[in-house]
Amino acid sequence: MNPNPNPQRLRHEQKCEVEQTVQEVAKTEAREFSSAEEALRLDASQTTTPPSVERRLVESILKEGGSTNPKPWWKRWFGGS
Amino acid sequence: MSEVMNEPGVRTSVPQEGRLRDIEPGFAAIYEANSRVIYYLCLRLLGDPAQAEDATHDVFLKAWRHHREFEGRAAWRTWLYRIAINHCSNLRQSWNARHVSCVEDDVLFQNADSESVSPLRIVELRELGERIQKTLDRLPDEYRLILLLVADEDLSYDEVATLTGQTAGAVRGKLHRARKLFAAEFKKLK
Repeated sequence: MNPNPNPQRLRHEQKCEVEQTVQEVAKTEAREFSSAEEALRLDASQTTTPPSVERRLVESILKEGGSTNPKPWWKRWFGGS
Repeated sequence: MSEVMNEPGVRTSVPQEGRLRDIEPGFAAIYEANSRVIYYLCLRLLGDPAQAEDATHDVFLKAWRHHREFEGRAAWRTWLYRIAINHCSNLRQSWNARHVSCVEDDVLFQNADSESVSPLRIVELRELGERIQKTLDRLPDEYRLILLLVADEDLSYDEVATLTGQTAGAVRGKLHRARKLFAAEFKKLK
């Protein structure tokens, strides 16, 4: 190994390494799908229901006089069926 | 802990996290098993996360109001899909009345013929959702719906046929055309 490396060559080599890494990362993230359904299924698997939907639903049900199985406060806090 | 007043002077305490299983454990199981697919359907039919959130809430609220009448008669998922499809269709109809822009099916299909054989490819997964939404927006409503329903592996062709008001054979035929159109439009959005 050269004890006195050329700084310009070092920078060039480092730049090439970075570019190669970026290309490799891009390659690994590329995906192909054989059908529309396959793409949709992956898309669906990456989609989650916002937690706010459940919170709003709870409020709406309670406003309509819902809850056919009201738990006493101590069961809600400490668990139990 | 927040409180909701159902009747004058009567307050019901609700945990801040607002969990459905605390107030309706039976219905909570239905929600947990189906909310994701219903939200996804609403999201891709409506194209907007906020509207999809509203629609999902409305769908499950309607389902909750009638779930005791429904119990045991058919699959929950099919019934929830029915409510969601009707709800989103009503919303889209009101939008279309204000913003009409559609391409004839025949034109789309002719353009799609030569583009549909090779695999669909995306560079990064993070662009998948946006690209799928734009692709679906370019399809006729019927094809969009069929693709979204068939993508749910828990639905049979017969169930998809029932939900779309046609025979299973007709679903298969339209699915073939829908796939080709989707592939062609998807590739245009590079």
